[in-house]
Amino acid sequence: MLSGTWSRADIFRRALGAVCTLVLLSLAIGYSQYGPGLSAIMTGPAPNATVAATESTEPAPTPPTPSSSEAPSATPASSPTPSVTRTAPVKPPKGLPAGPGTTEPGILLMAAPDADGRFTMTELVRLAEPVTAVQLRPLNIQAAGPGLRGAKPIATDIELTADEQPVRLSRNRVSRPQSVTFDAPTAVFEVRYMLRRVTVRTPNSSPGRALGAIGPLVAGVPGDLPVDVVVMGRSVRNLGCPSSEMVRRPCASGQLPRLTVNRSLPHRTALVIVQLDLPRPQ
Amino acid sequence: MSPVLLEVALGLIRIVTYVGYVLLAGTFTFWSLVWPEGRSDRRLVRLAVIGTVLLVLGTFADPAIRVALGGQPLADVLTPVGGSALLVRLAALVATAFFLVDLIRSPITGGRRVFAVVVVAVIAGSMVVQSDAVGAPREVLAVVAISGHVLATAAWLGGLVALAAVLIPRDHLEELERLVPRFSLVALFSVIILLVTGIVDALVVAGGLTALVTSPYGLVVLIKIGVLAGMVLLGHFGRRYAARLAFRRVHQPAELVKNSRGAHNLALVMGTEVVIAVGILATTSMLVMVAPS
Repeated sequence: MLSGTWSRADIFRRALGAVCTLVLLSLAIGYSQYGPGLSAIMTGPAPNATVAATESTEPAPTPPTPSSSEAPSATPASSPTPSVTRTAPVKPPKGLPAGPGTTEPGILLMAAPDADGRFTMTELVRLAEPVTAVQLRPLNIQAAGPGLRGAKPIATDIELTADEQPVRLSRNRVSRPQSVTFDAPTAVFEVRYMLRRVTVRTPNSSPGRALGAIGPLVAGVPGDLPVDVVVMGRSVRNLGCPSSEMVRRPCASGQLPRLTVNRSLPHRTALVIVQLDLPRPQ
Repeated sequence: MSPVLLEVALGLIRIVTYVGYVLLAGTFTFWSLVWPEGRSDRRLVRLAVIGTVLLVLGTFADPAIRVALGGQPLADVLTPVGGSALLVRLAALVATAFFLVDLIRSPITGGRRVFAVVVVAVIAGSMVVQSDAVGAPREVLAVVAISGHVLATAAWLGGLVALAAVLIPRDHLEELERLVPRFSLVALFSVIILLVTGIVDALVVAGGLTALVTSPYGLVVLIKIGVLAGMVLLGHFGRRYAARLAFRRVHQPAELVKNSRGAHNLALVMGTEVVIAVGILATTSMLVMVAPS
């Protein structure tokens, strides 16, 4: 292919082409290794906001979810985005599946829709390394597609528990990103809240048919942190997982009234569309 | 930006990327499998250059739109795998841009053929990695199906565009006897692969036959199949016209053949096929947007 007489311009062109190609290939390899860190550097650090711990909070109207009794790792870390290194296996809390959020680093996201299309949410979070801060960020509804146009997610009645100790929040509703700093490094915590304004009725469909979007409130964690999703309720019809290409694919498994997403989703794309049949007003 | 406008913008960029891929990969495949001597044809070189430019544009525009207009975090858009795939694609495009002059210096055989095939495979691979096949249920099956689909698209649609670019101006009618049978063989295999992989992918995406036939996604798949069938039918007529022309070329003066009604019909059929090919790419872009709920 490179036979024939080589002029200086040819040599320069080929050398430049080879160098550019090799640089891009090296960047590709580097990005596959350090991509998330690079992106985090480019987007800047999360803002800090300190909240104090308190003695008690009222119980939340959430499905019964036993708190994890696991203590944080002995090695504290200040980085809010630890790696997803697997830790030693632990027993899952009673009634909950083993996996991300219970026995492995990750999040177990549990949702139960009510008759008004709101979701009672519980997030069990287990990180590979303890952190001193975590970010709470409302759902990015853009990735849900046009079916949920008009939804404006807001999380209210937020309760945060770290290592079984309640954490008092300065604001217990989240409509824009906010940081929470723990008094002590923790790797295991639980968030309960009501997710509102995420359900939109589906026009030209069965009466009561609606779509809702759910996803983790906890942010500032590694983008590849696995998220398992469980949705409970007799009004639930199906689950769909939007992808990077904005296609919504059915991804439900299990039996009604308890459906799970059929695979762990990486945190960066953990958004699930719930198809609902909202009941008639009583 | 509203989600609808965002989807429209992303859909348009997808079409740009698909057209770029079809032009570049199709021309390279055409040179490699059908007409290695055609590397000196200026129209084909132009197709490869336009394809490269469109692919570079699509590669940069998609993440830029998602971040700038969609408000998605950069880390969400450029995932380690997705970002690496884009960089690998850019590397293949840069190599194409710098070495195309060397590639077309001699017939596309031997090392040149290997280079062309590797470029096509790398670009196709980068598209597969970014598709929803990765991470889908039955991942291996989905990835194999999408890979076959993407490569067969380059061979068939890209080859068709290249063939049309050569034959519609009626400058190379003397090549009819050689090109049409070779391309017909490539097209036949490609269509079979497209049908099989398309059905498999549609079933995997929809989550089963029932979900497929009852969803908007299934409707768009049906439209695409209809358009595809139209193209296959047109291809059949095209082959007939080409065979007649090739026969006349042997028995009649070249100028007479060039201005004959048969040559006109062949050009018309091929032009229509190319237009429908663009329709198929647009339908494919729609398929990515439509979701089975």
